[in-house]
Amino acid sequence: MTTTDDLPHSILEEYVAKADRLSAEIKLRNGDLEPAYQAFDNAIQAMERKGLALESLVPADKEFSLGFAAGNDQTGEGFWKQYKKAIRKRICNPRSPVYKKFASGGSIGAGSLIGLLLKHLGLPVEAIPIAAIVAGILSAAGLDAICIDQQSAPRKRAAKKKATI
Amino acid sequence: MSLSDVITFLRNSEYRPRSASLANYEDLLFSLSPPTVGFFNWVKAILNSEDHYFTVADQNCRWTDHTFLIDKYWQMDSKCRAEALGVVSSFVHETTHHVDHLITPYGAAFHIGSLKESLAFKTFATHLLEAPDCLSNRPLILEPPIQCSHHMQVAWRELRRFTEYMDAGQHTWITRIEEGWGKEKRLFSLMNRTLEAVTVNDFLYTVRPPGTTMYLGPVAILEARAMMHSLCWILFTLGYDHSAEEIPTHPKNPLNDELLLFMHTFYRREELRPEYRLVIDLLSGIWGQECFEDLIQNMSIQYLFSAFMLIDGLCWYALQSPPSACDVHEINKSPVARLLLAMIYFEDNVALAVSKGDKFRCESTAAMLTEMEQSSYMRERHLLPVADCLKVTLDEGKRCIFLGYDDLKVSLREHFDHLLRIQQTQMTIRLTHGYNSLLGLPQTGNPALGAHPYVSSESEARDLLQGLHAGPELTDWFTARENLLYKYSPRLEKKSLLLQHLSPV
Repeated sequence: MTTTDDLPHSILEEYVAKADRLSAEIKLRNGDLEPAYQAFDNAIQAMERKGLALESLVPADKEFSLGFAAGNDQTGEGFWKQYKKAIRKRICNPRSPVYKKFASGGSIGAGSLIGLLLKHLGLPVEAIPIAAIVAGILSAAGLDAICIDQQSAPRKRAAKKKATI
Repeated sequence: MSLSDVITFLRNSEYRPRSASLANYEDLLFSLSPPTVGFFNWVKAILNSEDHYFTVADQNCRWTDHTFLIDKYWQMDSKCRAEALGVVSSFVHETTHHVDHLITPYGAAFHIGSLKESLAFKTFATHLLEAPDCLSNRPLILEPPIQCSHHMQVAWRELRRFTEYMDAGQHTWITRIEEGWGKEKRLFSLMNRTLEAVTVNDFLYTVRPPGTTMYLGPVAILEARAMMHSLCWILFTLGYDHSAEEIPTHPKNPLNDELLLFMHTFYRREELRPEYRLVIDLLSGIWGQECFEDLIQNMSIQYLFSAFMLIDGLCWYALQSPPSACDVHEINKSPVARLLLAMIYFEDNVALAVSKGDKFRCESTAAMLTEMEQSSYMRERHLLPVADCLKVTLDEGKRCIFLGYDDLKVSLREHFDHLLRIQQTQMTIRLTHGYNSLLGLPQTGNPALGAHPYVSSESEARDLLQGLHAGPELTDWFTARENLLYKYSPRLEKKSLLLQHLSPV
């Protein structure tokens, strides 16, 4: 199976419902992504059981490297931190279909984003659990959930100050 | 600006072996706490450094040589001291990776493998671009669909031959780890630990702790050396002296505690890729210790420095493994086999002395390795002297340079040419010195302090210690390689990357 067209309708419906439920829960919690992290935890385990490597879904932004003390965070939260950074370029480009969909305004249902994300990110259809969670987050929190780099913001501010060394 | 920022920053700093480039440390300043910034301002003042950010030169200051500076260090609280140790050791760590990839037969094997893989990739890409139906969103490391042409299948298998070799060192999601050696399952004891035999990608015979997903591979060896160099440099900059029987140290702060502070801050087992600690924890067993931290806690500084150098030396021995195309006995070409045999040798020879209550202290790591190499144990196992390993590696490097790489884009061609020529120069220098190398086995742990005999110009020194300059075309290609081979991505994006980097020259 390579596209959502090949997916049995009942399965697609199941994930659309899951994405909508997740979106509603995140909104109810004022943007707290804890339910999404838990969903990622479950999705990661389920995909690994099916033999689809999570690593194969995350675009690389550099060559293989040997780090000073490379981390080993395999939690749902750790995955989301890494994944949103990796797909930022693709999603936040004004020419990307996901970006255009948000730019056109109005409320966007999580379910309508699943197929778009799978196609635009080049994901295999077996990665639909991940696409559904990302759709839920985007529907609840908008593009800011991916396009604002919260980690580098303080550093950029600091960089504006004169260096003391 | 706190210790956790420094940990995050340093966890993301890295050495990129394919492009041979080091991390950029300019932003590190913004992660440090104010007292640590103040401390490094003093370091910079003492070095008369005018740079407004950290450079490789900043690691060359031995703090203990300046009473004022070392006093400032001890006045800081433990969090700030951990930050300072992280800063200096990260430079030593990444420089060690770079040096290992430039002056050893393993490094030559790595870059020659990378070159041959690029050439095979080019051939495969040519077929793929001619038959776009065979291109999908799937990672190219997966076999092309059966309906694709025979030529394409052959080109893919040739590419796969090289990626499998590189992949066994990198440990990716596609790496195959099978129990046993040649299907024969085996458990055995080494360094007071139980290990399980595993075969990686059908060719790399190695071991792992039973029930784990890691294995002893090149990454574990390289990381162990980088960590040993960092720890040796920390000891040295804080006051360790090779010749002193007693180490002058701060009365309230034993140096062992500073090493533990460093380990607990940056190398906590539960937060780390498991390969990082595999060799060091394994080798701690030779001294009857459960883990590396126990070794630090229970051994005196004089012997600890020797223990670090022994671990460093065994891994250095492992890295003298020539490229796969060299006509020598296969066992020579595997860094893992070399390390395992060296461990067995030392377990038999050193552990015996330790069990009798004698403390092991080596005067020269190179002499120790030479003695091991000349032992009947190693000769009976067909392991060649280091000079022979260097010679066959130099010949293979010369052959690659002679054959040329005209099919590749100019930037990639120049990159490989430059790298292979640096390796020729450095390994030719090494020919007369055997295992002895102030760069490979630096007496203080800091490769930068041992570089002078090996460079004849500023640019050579820069190449050797600061990494090569990787232009955007080069870094883009090596990133594209990861995405093309290992990642799902839109078909059109894959096509565009192939056209950009591998279309006919």
